[in-house]
Amino acid sequence: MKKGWKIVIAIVLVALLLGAVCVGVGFLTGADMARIYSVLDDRYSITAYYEYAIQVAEVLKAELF
Amino acid sequence: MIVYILQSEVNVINKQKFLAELGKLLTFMYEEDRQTALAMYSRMFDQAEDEQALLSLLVSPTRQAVVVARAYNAKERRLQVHAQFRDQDGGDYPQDEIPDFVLAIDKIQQSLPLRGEEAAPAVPAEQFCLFESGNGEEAGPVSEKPGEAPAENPAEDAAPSDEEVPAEGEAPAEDAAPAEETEEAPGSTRGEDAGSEEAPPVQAEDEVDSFLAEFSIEDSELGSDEAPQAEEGIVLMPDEDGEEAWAAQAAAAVVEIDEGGELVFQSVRKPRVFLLILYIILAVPVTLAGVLLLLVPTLLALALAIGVITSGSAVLIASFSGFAVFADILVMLGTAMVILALGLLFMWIFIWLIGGAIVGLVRGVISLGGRWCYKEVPAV
Repeated sequence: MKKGWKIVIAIVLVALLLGAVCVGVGFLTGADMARIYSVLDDRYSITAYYEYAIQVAEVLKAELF
Repeated sequence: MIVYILQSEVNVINKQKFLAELGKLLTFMYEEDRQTALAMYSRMFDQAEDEQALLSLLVSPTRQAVVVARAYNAKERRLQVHAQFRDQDGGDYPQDEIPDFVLAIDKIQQSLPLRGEEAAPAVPAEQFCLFESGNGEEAGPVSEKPGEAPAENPAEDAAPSDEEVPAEGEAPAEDAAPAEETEEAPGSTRGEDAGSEEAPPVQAEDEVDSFLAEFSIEDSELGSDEAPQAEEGIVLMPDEDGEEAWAAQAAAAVVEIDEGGELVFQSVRKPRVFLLILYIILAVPVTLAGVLLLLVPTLLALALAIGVITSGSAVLIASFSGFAVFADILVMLGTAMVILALGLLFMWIFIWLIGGAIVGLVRGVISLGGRWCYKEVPAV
């Protein structure tokens, strides 16, 4: 288990570092968050799910409190 | 059989060294009995005209320890010792309760003059050095045949009469011994039929020789890394906890020799039943409660891991399917990598909680029970 912790922590740190480098390089080379969000929203309907979750929360809040 | 001994030359020892070695070998006996046995051997030396001749006749402390141990019934002695302390304040043995080992030593003493008429082998150094870590003496293999121990003619040996007992007044078995006890040969295996008064000594000596022969180490075994084969011997350790089962192992405890040439007593674990039952009754609900408590963060970690890894996979897939700008793909790849890294961390936490915390808790409880509820007794 102790050795496993070391291996996992090393992999996680390397992945986080690489991810941060990729994000940084992406933004430095012209990435746009609005464009990325629009693509993801088209694909996964993020806004719709978000609004649905907000409505459910409001209903629950009204019923419970 | 070729045996391994620590010296190439015959040791010249004296009474003090013989008794010191014998005292170490007889630590399995109750202290009162051990002192009695040592006192009897000491008297043998005091009465002997030629100390070296007596040493040669006794062969070795190990041999004498074997003889005494075979005649020593620890369970019976425990009861007798307690009774003596209670009734006689640790005085001499009652006439009708002379221990067998006293009779065995007495018979050895009685047989010595006859045995002295025949040639006896020199004392091998190995049998005096079992408990010594080395005193700078050079080691060297020398062959010895235990069967060459002082030859004796049981017929001529004329087993001592039933009335023969240790000589001096200090001896616990000063007076006449019961006939049924004296018929038992010195060193004979407990429970054997006493038979005639002449045959058992031969058998006893043969058994002692056999034990010592098996106890020795052949040259071929010296170079191997394998542990010496455990032999059935006669050495046992008294149990201070008062349990009775160990006493049934008298004359049958398993010993082996470690790399240093010292005796190592093999032991087995014996449960303390009452404590074990009590521990199980308490430990099972406590363990279950602990496991249930640990299951909450475990399942939470599992849920988080599944959710995060699913999200990371979705982001990774999306980065290759819907983006036209490379910078956006790079940002998505970086984000996916970070999310998957967190998912891996949560998954490992789940595995650690399952395989480390919960299993460790169960193992810890079992281990604690093993330490509290079991004891080690000499193996047979």
